[in-house]
Amino acid sequence: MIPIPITWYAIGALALALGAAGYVAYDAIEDKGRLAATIEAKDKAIAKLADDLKRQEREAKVRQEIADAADRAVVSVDVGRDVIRSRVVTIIREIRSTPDANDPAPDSLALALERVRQSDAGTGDRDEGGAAGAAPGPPARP
Amino acid sequence: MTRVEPLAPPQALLRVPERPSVPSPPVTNADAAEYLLRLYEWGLGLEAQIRATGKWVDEAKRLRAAP
Repeated sequence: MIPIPITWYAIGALALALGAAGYVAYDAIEDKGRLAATIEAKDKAIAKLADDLKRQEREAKVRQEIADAADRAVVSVDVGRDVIRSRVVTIIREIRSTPDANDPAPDSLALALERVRQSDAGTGDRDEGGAAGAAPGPPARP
Repeated sequence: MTRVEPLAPPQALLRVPERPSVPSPPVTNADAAEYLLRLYEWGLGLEAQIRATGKWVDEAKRLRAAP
């Protein structure tokens, strides 16, 4: 039997050590790669979440601004109505103090009011569904 | 562009106020004049309501379309 030189043992041990070191290094690199991929996925998820939150905040802001605009519209209508009402109340007071205020209305006016009253009391004249189409413009003021 | 689902206008803008009722006979000059004025007030109020609703719709559209 041919004796194996001692250097071969040394070379074999070195080769084994190199293989083990290579395996450990390779495993570490693999781990690092997997970790990097995981971190990247998490980063993407966080970025998406941030985008979603930003979008939701923006939508909530727009919704609030629209609601504020609606409140302003309601207030402007109420204020306008109050102004008109106070003006009309003043005019009515003036009319009530005129000498012929309590005289019977002329026949033509009384007839017109009576016809309107009858029309309001009926059910067929109102056209609440709008079947007759758009209303004509208001008559010119006398 | 921010998309927000359409919002309904507030009920206060949609509710049509009650039209003044026609005075019952016997009608005096003052009754007739008051009815006319109340009708005028009602009409102006309605006009303001329609204008405000239209303005609100335009503003809501602008806000929704804003980048």
